Amino acid sequence: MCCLWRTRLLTGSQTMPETFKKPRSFQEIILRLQAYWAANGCAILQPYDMEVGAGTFHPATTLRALGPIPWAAAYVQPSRRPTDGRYGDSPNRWQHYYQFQVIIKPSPPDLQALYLGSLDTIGIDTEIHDIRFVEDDWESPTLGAWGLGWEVWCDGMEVSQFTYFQQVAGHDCAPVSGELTYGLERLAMYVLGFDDGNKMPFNDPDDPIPLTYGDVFQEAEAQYARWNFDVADTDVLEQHFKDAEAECARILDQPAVDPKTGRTIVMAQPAYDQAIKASHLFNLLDARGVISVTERQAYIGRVRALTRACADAWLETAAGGVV
Amino acid sequence: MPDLLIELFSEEIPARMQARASDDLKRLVTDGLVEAGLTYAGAAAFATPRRLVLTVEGLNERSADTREERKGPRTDAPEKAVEGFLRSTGLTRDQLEARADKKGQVWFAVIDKPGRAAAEIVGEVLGTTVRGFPWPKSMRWGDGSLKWVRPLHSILCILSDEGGAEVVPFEVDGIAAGDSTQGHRFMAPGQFSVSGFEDYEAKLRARQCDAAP
Repeated sequence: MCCLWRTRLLTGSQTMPETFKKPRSFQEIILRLQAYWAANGCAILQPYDMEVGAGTFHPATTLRALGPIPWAAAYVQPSRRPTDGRYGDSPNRWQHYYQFQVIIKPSPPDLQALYLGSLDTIGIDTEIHDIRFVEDDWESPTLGAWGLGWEVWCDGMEVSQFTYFQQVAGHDCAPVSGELTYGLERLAMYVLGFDDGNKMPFNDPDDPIPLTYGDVFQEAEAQYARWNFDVADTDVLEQHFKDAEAECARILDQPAVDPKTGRTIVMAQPAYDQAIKASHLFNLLDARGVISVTERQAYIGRVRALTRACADAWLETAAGGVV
Repeated sequence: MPDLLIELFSEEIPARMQARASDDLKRLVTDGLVEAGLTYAGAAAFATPRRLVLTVEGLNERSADTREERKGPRTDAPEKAVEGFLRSTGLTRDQLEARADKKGQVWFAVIDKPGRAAAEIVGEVLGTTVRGFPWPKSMRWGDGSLKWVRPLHSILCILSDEGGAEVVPFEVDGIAAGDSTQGHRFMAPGQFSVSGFEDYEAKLRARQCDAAP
């Protein structure tokens, strides 16, 4: 046990001067993370333009973690979890929230140090705060993926997920990707010092038109909560799920050689879009409360089969490592 | 009689696995040493979030020379039987001795095995231990193929006596053994080298880590 930090923490934190300039808004945290990871070699991508439950679903993670080709990217991903809706009334739960995602393949030996540097850049002084790497093995049943790593605690609160991907869509990852996921709202509330996320500044509080997180999202949260829980047409959602499933299979059934251009074009990503759609439709059906426990497993299995088929197809493309 | 110090330095080991892992390290290495013909006076193992540590005191400098005698086929046995005996002993025909036995003249093989240096044995045993470590769950990282509980960063492995400390020549998956390690991640980062367990313990404590609380 490393124990001496305790005494230093207790005696030191009271007197230690705040040497950092802390970020002042939600968006400044995002901007600093982007600048930091750009400076450390990542391509700064934009969110994927589809509804996903987590940043991992972005093809920049799921598909790029497959195969041998090196990759380094960071991006914000708006994430939707319909069952988490609270009509905008919860201080820390929204059905639409943001993840900041970093994916580097192969995982560099100094990934932990890089990660800690990113905390520093958003104003978390690791000399003052108690940062711990606590065992947390990650698994995504719909992606057929798992990895080992930690949830990272800052003063006892989870601020990130840190995962070494071992398998994605049933394929062993070689090389292994390192994945970092920051839950931006929770992290920002902590850094900015707000117990109610809706009250934290989205832009700078001294801006001519200062906006809080709630100003931007609270209205939409109420609207989506009503639609997600009570109004969405479940027959239509079920049909959309079947359509997405069928289209995914139909895309992957096409011959590899495109008859029009004569080129080999395996359409793994358009097919994967359909898998993403199916996954979100399943989440919406779940929020509507029409999926029984046994159906739930069946739905997850169907989405996993789609993801698996898309991953197999991706590995037949140049980006998937085919020379 | 040299002392052995081993430290396996990794990223954070799950808390629930640390105690068991240090026990396993002690068991696997000391069993391996004894099996290879070394004896020792005492051993103790420790764990911190990022390290497994083993100290072995009073190790032999070399394993003892051994002589093994093996009885083979009769001297008038078919050629094939004699060839098989030569293959299994690794000797040539002129190295065999014919001796009288109840059933007549019989080939005997006398195999002399010179003792080996402790460093050589330690390297071998540590390699087997690291590659086959019984973690409840292990993983790969980067583009390597070694499995460990979390990425393994460095290995400290030294034999020390009054004359000084010597790094045991050892390498696994690109990680070469050395005589240095790091202090506490936040309170005392940075590399330092050590000359033995007492030195290790003291320097580590000065860098905010207790290896043996």
